[in-house]
Amino acid sequence: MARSLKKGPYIDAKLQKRVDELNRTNQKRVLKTWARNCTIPPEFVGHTFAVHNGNKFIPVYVQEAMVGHKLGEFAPTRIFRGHPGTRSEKTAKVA
Amino acid sequence: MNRPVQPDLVAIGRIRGAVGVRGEVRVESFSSFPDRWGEENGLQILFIGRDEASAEMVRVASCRTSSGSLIVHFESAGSRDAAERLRGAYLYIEASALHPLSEGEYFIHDLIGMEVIDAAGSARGRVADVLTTPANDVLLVRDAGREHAIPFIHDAVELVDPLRRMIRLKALEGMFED
Repeated sequence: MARSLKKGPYIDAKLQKRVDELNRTNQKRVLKTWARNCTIPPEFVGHTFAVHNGNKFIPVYVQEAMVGHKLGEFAPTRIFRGHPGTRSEKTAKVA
Repeated sequence: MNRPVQPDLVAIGRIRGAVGVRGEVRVESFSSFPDRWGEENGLQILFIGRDEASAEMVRVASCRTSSGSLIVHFESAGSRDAAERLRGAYLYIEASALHPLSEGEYFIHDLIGMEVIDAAGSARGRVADVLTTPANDVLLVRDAGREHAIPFIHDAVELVDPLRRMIRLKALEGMFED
């Protein structure tokens, strides 16, 4: 069931405070967080969060298309490591 | 047909099983380029084998998608039994036939093993693996038993030098705090 519109999206207050401080001072740094259930508001865009996936912190760079989603959606808890010892045509791109 | 000198091969897929009775196989693609399997790319010759060393050249008779699955038919496999024998085999292409890359794009197998230098000029280890997450790619950098997750983003990466096998990072506070 969807969250009540009356309440608005859930945004972790501590994280919001830290982002507001970075925006106010025009700084960039990786913000470590366990708040996987935090909805991404527009103020988070352009910041990088190290989101805990239960094992390690996964760096998540927030872009406009991610607004409204939860931080945890971008830090998978299960990671397929591919086929060991096999060079493949998979690529990585600088975002 | 065995080749006297095995070329440099790169995997683009793996055969998951037989489809139908005419010798077609279902393929799991490893390629980041969905158009790799289109007919317009002229994908006619592949190498097939359990590993690179034993791979043999085969000709592709047809290639299509069905319900989201990639179905390939090789000229040498004319029956379901022949297709079943290919289950688990890898499909390779020659390294010289790899898809051209756009700016800022790198093959993961090229990134693995590169030395990572931070903004202060200190070595931070080598790329052990690259994770593909829904947000951005992540470099897993290993150094003396410790592992750091570095976002593969413009805010964090200054330069990727494939010739010197080196990645230079920008100063992004909090990147190595884990």
